Amino acid sequence: MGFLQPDPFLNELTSMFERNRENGSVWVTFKRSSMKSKVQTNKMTTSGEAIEYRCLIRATDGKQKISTTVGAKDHQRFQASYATLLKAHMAALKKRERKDKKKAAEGDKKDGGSKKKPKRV
Amino acid sequence: MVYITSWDEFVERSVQLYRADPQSTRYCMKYRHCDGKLVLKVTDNKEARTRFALSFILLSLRFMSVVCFLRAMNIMFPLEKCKPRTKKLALVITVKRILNLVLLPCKAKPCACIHICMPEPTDLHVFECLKFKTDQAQDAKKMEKLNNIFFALMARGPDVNISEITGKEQMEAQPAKKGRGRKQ
Repeated sequence: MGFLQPDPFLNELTSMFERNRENGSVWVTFKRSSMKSKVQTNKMTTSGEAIEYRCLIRATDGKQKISTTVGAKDHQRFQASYATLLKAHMAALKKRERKDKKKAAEGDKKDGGSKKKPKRV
Repeated sequence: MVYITSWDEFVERSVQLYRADPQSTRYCMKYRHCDGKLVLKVTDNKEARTRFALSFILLSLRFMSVVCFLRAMNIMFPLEKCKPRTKKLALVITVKRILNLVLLPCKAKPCACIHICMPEPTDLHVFECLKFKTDQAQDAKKMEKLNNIFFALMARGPDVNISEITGKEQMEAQPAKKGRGRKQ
């Protein structure tokens, strides 16, 4: 796959998460990059030109590698879609069980006379 | 590599690390659905200097001790008297003997036993790397904010004010709720 535009990258990332549900990991890395070689960046700094930096996002599942870049203007739109994607796929993490356990413990101790805390939706 | 237990400390230190070197710092996330684990890492690929200096000294000390040992063995088994072909072999044998003495615990002959007991230099190499691991869904929500922080820092620049980012998020969240209310 390699280098993609932001939207196809998000689609590929979705399928990567889905493929690795039963087995495997997904790594996502963010890095600031000018997307130019070291030689070019050195030349630009010496000549005093402004270097345009972008946020490089790479993702892999051990087998397939994909990447994309996001600039200062479009990063907010990307971060919103990325956030929804993660929320949808990171479902295996444990929900807050401590409050439920505490409730059960309090209920046992005080024989049902405890104050019930409202559940956060 | 340090696993940080406090989320706020992790965020603060990773932003500091990024601002110290925006070009080489990267933010990595690993998610395993089958284990329900999330690991975050922020690193700048640099070794902490003070530890490195000490480990270099230890490495050279270890080398010196091995050289001294070799010389001692040379006295016992002089290489000058050997023929050229056997010289190499003799050296290999002595190195092997030293390694056996160093690596394996003291067994039979106490007179031949010289332990070179020093901490491994690699144990003291400290990479400037911050890690955070979790299996809680609430941390995924916190990570979302950190993602937004890093997006802004990396796309716009290290001089971006973080409170602007978190403030903007709250602004975005509030009108959305108001909108739902009015539609109903």
